Amino acid sequence: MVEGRQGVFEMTRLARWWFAPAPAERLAALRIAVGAYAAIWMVAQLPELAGVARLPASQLAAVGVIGVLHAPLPPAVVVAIAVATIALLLAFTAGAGYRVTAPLAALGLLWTLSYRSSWGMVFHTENLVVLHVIALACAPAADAWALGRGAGEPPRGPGAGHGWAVKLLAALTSATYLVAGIAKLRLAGLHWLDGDPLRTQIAIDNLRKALLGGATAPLAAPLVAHPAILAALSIAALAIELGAPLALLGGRAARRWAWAAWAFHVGVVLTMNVWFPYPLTWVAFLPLIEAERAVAWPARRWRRAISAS
Amino acid sequence: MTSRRLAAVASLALCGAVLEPLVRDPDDDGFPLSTYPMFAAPRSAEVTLAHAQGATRDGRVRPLSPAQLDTGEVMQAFTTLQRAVAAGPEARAALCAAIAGRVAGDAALGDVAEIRIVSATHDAIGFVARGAPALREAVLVRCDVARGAP
Repeated sequence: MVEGRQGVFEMTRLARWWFAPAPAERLAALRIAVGAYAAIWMVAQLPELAGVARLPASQLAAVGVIGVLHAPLPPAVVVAIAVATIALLLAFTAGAGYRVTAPLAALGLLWTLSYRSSWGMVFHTENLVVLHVIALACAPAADAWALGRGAGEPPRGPGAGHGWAVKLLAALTSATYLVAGIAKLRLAGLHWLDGDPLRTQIAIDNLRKALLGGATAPLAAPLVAHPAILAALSIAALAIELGAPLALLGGRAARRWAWAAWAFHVGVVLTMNVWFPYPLTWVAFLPLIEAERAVAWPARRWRRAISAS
Repeated sequence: MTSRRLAAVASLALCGAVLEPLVRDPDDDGFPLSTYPMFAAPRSAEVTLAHAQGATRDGRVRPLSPAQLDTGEVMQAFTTLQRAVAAGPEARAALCAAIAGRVAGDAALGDVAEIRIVSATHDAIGFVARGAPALREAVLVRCDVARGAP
């Protein structure tokens, strides 16, 4: 009985924390930053998408939602879905017709980027942005700074407020790093910490790039030659990934973790020339800070442009 | 109250989905719900990889870029090559011909007369640290670059 009461108390405490209020502008700022990033990313990926759409059908290795397909789509259809998704993402970013455009934008992004990853190479650089767009599509993220909404207009909806959605985005960021860290322990165990697996991964990755006409990373050769440094970097990388839940504490802990994770990605660029633009541009970490401040300047410009029109 | 319940359901569903790969085989990757196996598993530094080369009439080897495999992504180019090589002689020949077709239209590779798909075994650490050459190398398929008369 006492244990039961304790459980209810903990659940209530967890719910209070999860549903702690946050300003509508914070969630709107995340909608704008994540939506704009996704739209720009999709535009940049259009030529690549057209390229994979022309690959032989035998190379299709469906992942995720693409599992419903038994054969590749005609390239024109792939590109048309991608273009429609870009238009929907622009509406998503502007907060226009959000209840309709946001779920469709999330669906289009999930479909298109899953299709791109369905040719033998899964692009892990795109996982988190898809998850963030899906989460935002489930949330009242157009209650502020949205096209067609007057200033001071009360939120359309729910009693749940906006704080839970900001927490959800932060939790998704944190969870992806945690899963990546646990994967290292599951696949390599504590051996991962001695630096040898990282050294081999860096070497193989750079070898692949050299053979295939890509650019190799500037620090690959000196680091591969000095395994002791790689042992320290392996420990740091694993600590950052397993320490990701600390980011949910908010405040200084979240900011410190975000900068550490950002530095980790800079390290990946310098050692493997593998770019994760979503965290490198800091958009992935915006749910961990007061995002409305980060996008306040462009948002002010946006509001001015809307009121002028 | 209902909306709080819906928010809780959405939160649990999404967080649960992202954590679900923890109970999956780590090599069973997916998108966007990944087990993040890349860079996690220990590997041997001795690796055999397929790559494409251009060769001139006097036997010089010219490096090819991922664009000759119709992609800007090195890793997509890598995957396309490995899958074609694994699929057998027909797929290798088809890929070789497709690369030759693209090289024929590339003025910067005007001296390339032949495309080779090569399987090379390297000590990756020796290659990156000291530029060590391949331990073994074998040409899997070769095809001519056909250009129209000038």
